[in-house]
Amino acid sequence: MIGRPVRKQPAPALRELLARGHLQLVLLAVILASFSLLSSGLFALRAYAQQNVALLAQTLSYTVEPALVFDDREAARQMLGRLASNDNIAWVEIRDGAGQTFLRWHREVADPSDLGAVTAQWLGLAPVERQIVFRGKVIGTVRVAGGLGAIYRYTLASLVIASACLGITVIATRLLARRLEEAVAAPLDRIVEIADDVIHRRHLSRRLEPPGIAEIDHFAKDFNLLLTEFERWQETLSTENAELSRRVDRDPLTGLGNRGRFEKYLTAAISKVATNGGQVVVFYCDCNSFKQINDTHGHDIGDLTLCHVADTLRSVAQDPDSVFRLGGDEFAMVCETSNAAALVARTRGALIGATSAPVTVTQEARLHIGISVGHAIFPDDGQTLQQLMRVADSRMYRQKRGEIAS
Amino acid sequence: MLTNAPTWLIALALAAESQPVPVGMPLDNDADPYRAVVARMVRAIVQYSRWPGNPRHLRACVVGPTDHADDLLKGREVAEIGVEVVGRSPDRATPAECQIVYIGRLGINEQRKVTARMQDGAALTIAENDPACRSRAMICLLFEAQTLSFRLNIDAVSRSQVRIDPRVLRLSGGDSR
Repeated sequence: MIGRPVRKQPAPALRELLARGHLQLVLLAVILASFSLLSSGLFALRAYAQQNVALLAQTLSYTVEPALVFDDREAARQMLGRLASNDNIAWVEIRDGAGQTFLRWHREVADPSDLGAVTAQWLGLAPVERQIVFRGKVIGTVRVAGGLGAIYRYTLASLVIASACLGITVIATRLLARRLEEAVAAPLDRIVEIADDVIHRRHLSRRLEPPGIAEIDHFAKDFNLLLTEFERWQETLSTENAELSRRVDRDPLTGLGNRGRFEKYLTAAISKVATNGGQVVVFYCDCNSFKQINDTHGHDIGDLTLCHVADTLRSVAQDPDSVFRLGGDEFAMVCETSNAAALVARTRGALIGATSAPVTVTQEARLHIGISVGHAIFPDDGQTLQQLMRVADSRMYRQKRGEIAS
Repeated sequence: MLTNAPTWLIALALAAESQPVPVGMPLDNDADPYRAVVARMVRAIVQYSRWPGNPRHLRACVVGPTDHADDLLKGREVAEIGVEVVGRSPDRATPAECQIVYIGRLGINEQRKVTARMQDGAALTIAENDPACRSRAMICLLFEAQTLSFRLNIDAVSRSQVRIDPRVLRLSGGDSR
């Protein structure tokens, strides 16, 4: 009924799809955010570092000046060691007025100098040079190069934080996906369950509750409409089926059951009595003058005669469904009882009584419709349907002969 | 984390510290390795000193016999910065005449006499022969094996009207009271 796409691999579950989608989105977001934070942080840090270097160069050019004038390297070294002690400074070089190196100071724990220099260059961290001016005369220069300690630390911290964020978001994504899945997949599961119920057990009365998601609500509405349509269709179908089956085993003229139905009914009654105890009486009836009426008054009147007999039998029977027309002018009636003899006497009397007077079939025809009745009792007269029928038939003919004779 | 303490703060903290940084001017290879260095040292100290009214010309009086002031007496080194060098006997060195007094090889009492006379004037006093700095001169030269350095007498410096650049104070080998 519902075609499913055939795939070699099973289709991924909704949660998987959601989680994957979220993960990709979150990865992109975190990477973009980390990148922008890292780059803006580095940019700001670079500006600070450059400013720091320039400031130190300025300070040194003032502080070291007397040491240069007094030609005192030791004093200058001590000043340098203190002023440049933070790790944002890589090295300091002081030259005197003649361009000779007066003092050079390096970080003790130097970064791998090549990498550091390349990185510094790439970041645009150039060494800063300041002149040492004493009484309007340049007596030397101080050059300061920034270190990358803070930048390294910042980068490392950023990467660690970004990784931690990634980890957290991955977990959060899983949880969110599970939640979403519950919201989306649960109604879908219910739809699948109801559809299975419909397919395998034909339970068409169940309906979906709209789960509160626009698309699924829409789907549920349509699904329910479809179910309603199916239900109506099935009802129509079963009504038609019942009508058809009713027609199959009924005589269209009198509305009585036909021979097939009679046999089924009698067999069922026999097996029921055989189990529960009791007796079944089969009456076999025949119109005495049907052929004559047909020939004299025509088939229409013959049909009316048959209907009259059917009505008579129905009025006598315990259950109108226990009266059958076996064909032609032959009728049968099945009764369950515990006292067969009394029932036979009563029924026989009622039938004879009902058919002894002439009947006004039409305004023109006022007929005397005599019937002959034979009966057989289960289990007294036979065990099977055939035996019972034979007994009832012969009794009826015996009565008919008697009637005709009388 | 972005910046460490600003650099000027460190400078300030350093200036407030009182640990002495001994000055050391490397010596020459002359017969007297101190001659030229003394002249340069005096010149440097004068350059970092300020007299009231900023006089254009200064007179340096070399008082008493000296061991290492020959180059200073020649005056070539300090002439460039407008300082005239004259020799004076201890009695004749007065604040009116001498803005700089280089005290040579005198007894401690005689040195004190000179410094006492100069105390109220605007004069920079430098003692050659007073390593313990008891003469109340503002600056006491220290003749060491490899270098020439000096020591400041903070009391004398603070009493004098001559102002010495605090950065030089930091260079000095500490004060002795």
